[in-house]
Amino acid sequence: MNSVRISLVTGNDETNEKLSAILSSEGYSVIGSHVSGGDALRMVRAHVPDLIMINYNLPDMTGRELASIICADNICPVVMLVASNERVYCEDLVDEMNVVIIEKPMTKLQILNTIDITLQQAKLIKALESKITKLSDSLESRKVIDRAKSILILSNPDASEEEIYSAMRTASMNQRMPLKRIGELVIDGKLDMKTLSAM
Amino acid sequence: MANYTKQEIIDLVKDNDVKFIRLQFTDMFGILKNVAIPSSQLNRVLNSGCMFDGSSIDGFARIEESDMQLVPDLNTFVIFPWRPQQGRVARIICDVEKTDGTAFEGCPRHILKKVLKDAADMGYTLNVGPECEFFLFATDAEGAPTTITHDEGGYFDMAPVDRGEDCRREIVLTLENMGFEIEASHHEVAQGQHEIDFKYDDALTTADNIMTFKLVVKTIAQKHGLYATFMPKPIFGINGSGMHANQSLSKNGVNAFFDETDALQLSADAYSYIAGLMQNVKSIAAVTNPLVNSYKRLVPGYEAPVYIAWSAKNRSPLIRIPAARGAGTRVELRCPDPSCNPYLALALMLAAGLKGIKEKLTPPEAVNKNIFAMTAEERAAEGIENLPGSLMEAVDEMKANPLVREVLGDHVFELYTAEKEHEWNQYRLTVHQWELDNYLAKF
Repeated sequence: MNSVRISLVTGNDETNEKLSAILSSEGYSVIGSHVSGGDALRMVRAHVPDLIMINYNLPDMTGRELASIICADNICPVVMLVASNERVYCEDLVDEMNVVIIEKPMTKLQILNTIDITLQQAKLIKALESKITKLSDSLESRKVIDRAKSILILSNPDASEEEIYSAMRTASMNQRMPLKRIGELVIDGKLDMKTLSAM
Repeated sequence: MANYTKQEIIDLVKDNDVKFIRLQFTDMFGILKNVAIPSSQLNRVLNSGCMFDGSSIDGFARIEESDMQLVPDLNTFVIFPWRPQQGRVARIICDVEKTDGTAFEGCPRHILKKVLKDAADMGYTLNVGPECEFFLFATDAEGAPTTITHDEGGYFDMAPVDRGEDCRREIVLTLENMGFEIEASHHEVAQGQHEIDFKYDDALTTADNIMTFKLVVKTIAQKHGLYATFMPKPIFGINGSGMHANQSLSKNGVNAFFDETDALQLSADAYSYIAGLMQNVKSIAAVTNPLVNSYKRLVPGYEAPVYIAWSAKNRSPLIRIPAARGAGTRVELRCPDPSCNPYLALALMLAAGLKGIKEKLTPPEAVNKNIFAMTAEERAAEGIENLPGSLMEAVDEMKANPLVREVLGDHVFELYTAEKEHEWNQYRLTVHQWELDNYLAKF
């Protein structure tokens, strides 16, 4: 099983070491542990961990700022460590950017469980995102092809819908262009039935 | 530059869920300032501007004349692409006016516009294409900038990765998103140094673009955990950062510097422009190279110019004529650095060039040999002078030339020279680490 790669930014070396020890002993690979947010940002863009744990208090920026940047650029899932009085400042991060919060003081079990659940959730979200992208691409293509077909039908009342679709499909095969592209060219007025049949 | 009406801007703000609009302007030292208004105030500000207290800004006004008005230039409206999708932020660049509606004489944008009008009266438009260099440094644990480039930083990298390249790529994409046309972007000679060139445009747009460029570079660098600096010479011993200014005049839509019948295919206007620049470059140096540190860059050995000469062949003279001709004919002034105020710098460059044209000046012969290999006597024999060697020399030259006072106006001229003298004195009176290193143990 591949080791999960985790980065830590906790604002002080002691906490970094403790967390690092807990995670490594459970088989996670701690690929970076930083005190400053700037350090972490540079690291995270180069090595893209599977998950990053950020403390709310950091010496050079707030954990909030760091989390916002990482989430806005969709780099990796974020787990934020907050004190109970800081929690209220992070509600919007939870709502809008799907940041997961652990309240300090935390137990080893809490940390490990939270990481497990976050990773699982992240995997699911990625799969769903990929499916959505595929579906919207497919929908886009369908719309373009339909529009192209109706343009050709209107300008060629003698041809049947089947003939038109067949001409488009043949042209796409012969020109090694996706059917969607043929449709776009028709919509842009760059292809008509005559040139299409000749392709 | 886009062409927006008030209604189009109001619609764009609504459709894009823009929550704040930053009204931007530049002070005389080239620092970008802003006043942020919530979008609910947009209509009011577009119609009657935004009042602010000028006395709180360096070099703007004394207490008695403090009320100023920010008047938005609608064509500069742009939505920042790096802000979150909800609650986005936009900006509009503004001119500063006095409450009676007249232009404020301390507004750099206004100063540039005045010179552009002089040029327009002669039938000319100035086009400028800047080549801006900058360094990307790491920040320390407190977030303060260092002079460590990522290559030397102490990360546990498993493979050498140039994070600067990623950052520069995102900068270019962001600029293109904001309407810039980026011609080239590459790593520069020094470690951690980068350059981004954007397409030439009319001088006012280019000056606006330079200010925007610096803002974007600094913001994206911060997002990457890096610090971008436009300081001319942050590290001794390696190249510094310059901002070469490629200039050309056009008349009736045609490049006025091109003449195919000439040996170098340059027109009389081009030669006179060059002569005007050469005649006045020492006096405008305090504006094109405004920092004490600027003069640490203008030394031999690092591709920066030192001697006042022009050439179509050399790569490192003060004024270089790139090979392109036809519509691309241009004159490249290589001394300015990116810490300058682009409005004032371009205004003075143009004024100098126009003076050359008005007085039909002719430049000295081009110097095609390596000036850096010549001795001081040889240079003197050929009449090759030096750029000022320090900020103080530059200020002295500035005071000696009436052209600069004429272009900048008394208000800016007085405040600017006073501040630069103060800056020089502070530097001169400080005891520097170098002195301790070299004298403490010896004496």
